[in-house]
Amino acid sequence: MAGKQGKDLALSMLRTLPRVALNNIRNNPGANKPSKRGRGQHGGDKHGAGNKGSGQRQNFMRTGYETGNNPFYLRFSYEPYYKGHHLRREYPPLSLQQLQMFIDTNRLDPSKPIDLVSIVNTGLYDFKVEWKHAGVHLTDEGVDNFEAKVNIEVQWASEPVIAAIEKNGGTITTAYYDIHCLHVIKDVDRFFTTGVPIPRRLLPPSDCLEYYMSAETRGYLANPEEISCERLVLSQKYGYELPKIEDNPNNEMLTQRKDPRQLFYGLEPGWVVSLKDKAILKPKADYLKEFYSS
Amino acid sequence: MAALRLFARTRLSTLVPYYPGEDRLPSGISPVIDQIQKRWGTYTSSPKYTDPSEYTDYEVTKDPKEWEYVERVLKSKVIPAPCLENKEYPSGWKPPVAKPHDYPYYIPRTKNYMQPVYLEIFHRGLRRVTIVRKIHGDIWTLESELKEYIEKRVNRPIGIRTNELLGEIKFRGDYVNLVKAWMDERGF
Repeated sequence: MAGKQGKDLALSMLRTLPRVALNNIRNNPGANKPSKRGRGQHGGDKHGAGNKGSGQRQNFMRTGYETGNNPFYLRFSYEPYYKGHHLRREYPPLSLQQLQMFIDTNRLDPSKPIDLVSIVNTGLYDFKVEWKHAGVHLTDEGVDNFEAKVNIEVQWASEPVIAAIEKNGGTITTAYYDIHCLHVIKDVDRFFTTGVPIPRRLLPPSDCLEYYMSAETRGYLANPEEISCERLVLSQKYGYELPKIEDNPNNEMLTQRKDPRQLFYGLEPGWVVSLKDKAILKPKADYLKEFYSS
Repeated sequence: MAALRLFARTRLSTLVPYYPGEDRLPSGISPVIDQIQKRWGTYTSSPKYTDPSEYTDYEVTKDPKEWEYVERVLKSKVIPAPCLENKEYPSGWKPPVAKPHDYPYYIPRTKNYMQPVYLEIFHRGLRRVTIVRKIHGDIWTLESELKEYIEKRVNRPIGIRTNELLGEIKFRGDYVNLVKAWMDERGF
């Protein structure tokens, strides 16, 4: 025994020591917490409450009270930055550079009208209706490299963007989609499986009605004659020759517009699409036709 | 809902079956409910719409011209392949022209036909790390060549972390445009 060292010593000790069994196991020290607190000599002292003051007496000040100072929560005036945030719409940006890249990489087909549906269907545009996203804000980044000729419908666009698109011989419209339509647009495949009729678009609320009725912003409710006048005005302001859409072979595509109540090109509100049967169900009742068209 | 089920049942005896010789259910066995539950919430079970004539009339069309408009709004099941012709694109996008054995290393495009170069920003915008992914072949040659290329242009030594197993290199700092320009030169 005396000559054993290290591993051998440990193994010989292990042979003689008792096994761990039910009769000799016990809790770790401190694992048991007594249900009563000790009094007096049995561990009774301050019990974590400290000596004197509100801690010991458990009479705490009200929240935010700073013993007579001007409290922090009252020190600054009210600044309602987020007032009405639940009503405000957000238009996530899409730059002209991105739009051109979508066209170059075959994600968008410029031979057909581009709208929010086709942009969302690329899968490259971050669109969350639950975050109050209301559509595309087309920004002027990459305006110098933009060469596509498109018929595009966006929700918000600035003047240089409109000029860049019209300079190339394209057309742009700004259009409003209400929240019910946006829920349809975010996943059209899923919507068609629900068997719900295509909703009619609602008119824009009063805070953006003016934007969508004005010809300068190419609103979808503006007078088409005023828009063609504004196209000429903008070309003179930015100094480019306005290409004539009438002479264009794609004239029909470029001038295609949705009805203010229409959600998808070629499909009317009130229709039900059955993907399984590859059929479209159209209501016959007059009161439904009147409802969906007005 | 539980209250609704309670009121919906006709007799209590339908709910709890009778076991002869026992005055209560054997313990550990839940009572078998014979009655089929009736759903009150759906529209087909509501008494108003049991008769099909109550529904609005409709016509079914299978016009292929109209169906084209439906197909146009459906999302494509696959990512459309771009035209890979080697020419100048207005957006600056370049198709991959390098073949896998042109260099000792190879970087394929992502599923979206883009270069796998990313910028990661963390620590509240204090740390910027450029990540090059999907590197195949000799990663160490690529690392030394990229290091030389970037250091020559930014004129200071840069921190690099190479993960041979994952095939990715991380550069400390924002060198996304430099890395992409280098890849464009080689046709990746």
